[in-house]
Amino acid sequence: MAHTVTHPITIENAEKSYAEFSAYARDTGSETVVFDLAGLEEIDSAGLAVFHRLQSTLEHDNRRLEFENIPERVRQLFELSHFDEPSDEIETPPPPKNELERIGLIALDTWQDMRSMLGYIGRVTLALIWSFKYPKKVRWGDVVRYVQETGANALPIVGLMSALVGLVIAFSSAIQLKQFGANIFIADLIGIGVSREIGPLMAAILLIARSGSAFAAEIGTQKISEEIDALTVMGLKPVPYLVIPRIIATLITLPLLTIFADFFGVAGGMVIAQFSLDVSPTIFVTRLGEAVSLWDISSGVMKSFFFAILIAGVGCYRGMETSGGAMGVGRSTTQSVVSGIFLLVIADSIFVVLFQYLGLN
Amino acid sequence: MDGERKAVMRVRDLEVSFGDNLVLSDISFDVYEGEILVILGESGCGKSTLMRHMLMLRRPQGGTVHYGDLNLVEASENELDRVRRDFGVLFQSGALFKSLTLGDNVAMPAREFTKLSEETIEELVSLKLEMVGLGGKQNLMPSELSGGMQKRGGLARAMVLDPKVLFFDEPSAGLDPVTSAALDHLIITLNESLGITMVVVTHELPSIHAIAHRAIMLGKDRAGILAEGTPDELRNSGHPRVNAFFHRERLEENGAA
Repeated sequence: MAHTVTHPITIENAEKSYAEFSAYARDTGSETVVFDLAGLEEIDSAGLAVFHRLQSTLEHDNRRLEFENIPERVRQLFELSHFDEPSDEIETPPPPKNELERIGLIALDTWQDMRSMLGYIGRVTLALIWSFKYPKKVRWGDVVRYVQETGANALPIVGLMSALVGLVIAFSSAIQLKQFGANIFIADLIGIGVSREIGPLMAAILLIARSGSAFAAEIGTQKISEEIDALTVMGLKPVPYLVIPRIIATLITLPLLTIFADFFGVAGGMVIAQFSLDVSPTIFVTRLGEAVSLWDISSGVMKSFFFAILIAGVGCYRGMETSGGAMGVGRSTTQSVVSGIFLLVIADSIFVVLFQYLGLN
Repeated sequence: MDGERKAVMRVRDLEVSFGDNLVLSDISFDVYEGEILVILGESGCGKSTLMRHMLMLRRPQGGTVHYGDLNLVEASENELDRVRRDFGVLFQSGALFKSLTLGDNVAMPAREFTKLSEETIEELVSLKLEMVGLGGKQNLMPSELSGGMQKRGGLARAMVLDPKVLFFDEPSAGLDPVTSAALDHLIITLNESLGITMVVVTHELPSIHAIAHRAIMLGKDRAGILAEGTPDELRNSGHPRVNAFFHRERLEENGAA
């Protein structure tokens, strides 16, 4: 006894057909379920999937699916979809590692990562020394371009953000200062706070966001389009060629941006001093001269040299480590910002402790 | 070819793995002076990987690669940089620097490694661009060039300092048959006129027949080198996989192994 299929089996009625066929299979209960396909005029891939599905359910119960009177066209389709053979086993990805193995793998990865990072730091240091020894070999044209890109073009945003932060800090402290009648000390607070921490940090954070990420994306794109390989096989080392100009450019721009940020941060505080605390600009500036030492300003600027190497170095490193297409470039860019800010805060904390310890206050 | 050919590069027992995954093993062959050697094989057999390891873009896990008397596997970065000036490489995408004009791209090795004057370099650049059929295009940016033109631009850059060995990574990938045939013709002409040794990675049958003096075929699943010889020898070899490759036949999975 065979079930005669009279209607086409297509994507339109696949589920309905499956319900019909499996009901028939259930009702006959025989070990071999036979379908007569003589009347089957049209079947598409969804139809084939219906029979495949039926076959695997039947196989599961140790029953079999058979066809009679298969039209030529349908037979070809059946052959193409390997109906007669057991379906290929779906490859399972290797089972997840157990916790211990995973910890080990992460440790190994971290170790590798640190080793390659260390190698990179070494190469950058050597290349920096080399470029001080042979300044003529540095690609100054690129340096100028990056100075423009990382410095000049960043002025408006650095100025605006620093002024706003100066404004906010002054405003939130104004209330407290007023309570003690210590209005004049707004100049101390803003002057020292901005020149030591806010200025250098604002400039550095904006440099990470604007330029560290751009370095990672630029170099990452060059990496995935084989440009870095091309450099290497030409005998041009990627570090002196791509990284050093960027580091030198940020070494020039970040200290200048820091001074710029200092200036606007203090200006922001001065506005609040005038309007909320009745400290006139003249008094503010006079007090500023007494409160802020040269060391306050120069320590901030000094830190920014280290930050510059850090930020450009990390951005370029993430770029060079890029792999895996467009997504890889995105990942590197994100990584450059995340690890840039992380390392920035760590480095800044070290400086605070170091200055304290050395008695440089 | 005469009997006493001089080997320019000698690869012995090369072994490459990525993590736990062994990709190439047991690879040994020579590259002779002045020949066009084609490395061929099915997709995913590690042809391009082999080339990258001949150039030491990545160090192999085992074996040696000699260029002259120097074992590149153990060479220092500085030694490699020196050796690489004898090499020219055409990458799959051409790998032109997108931020430089075509002319600056081609001029770059000359500017970096020679003391030639800017005027001479400009002449050199237009000469090389002329050779690859891109005369007069030096001021265009790579993005303004078609895929085939970018490849020829990459070739001009690879040749600008007259390399002793030129490597090609799938030169005809993504090119139409006409452009691809033109590139093959260019490769043959350059080989005959300048005597440059060439190593070409490809799986395009027409290219292989057109350009190869000698070919080695890599097996899939780290089977090592399946066959070595002239294209004609390979085509008539008894090996089922090599046969299937050269006759564009479908291989039944169970029949071959």
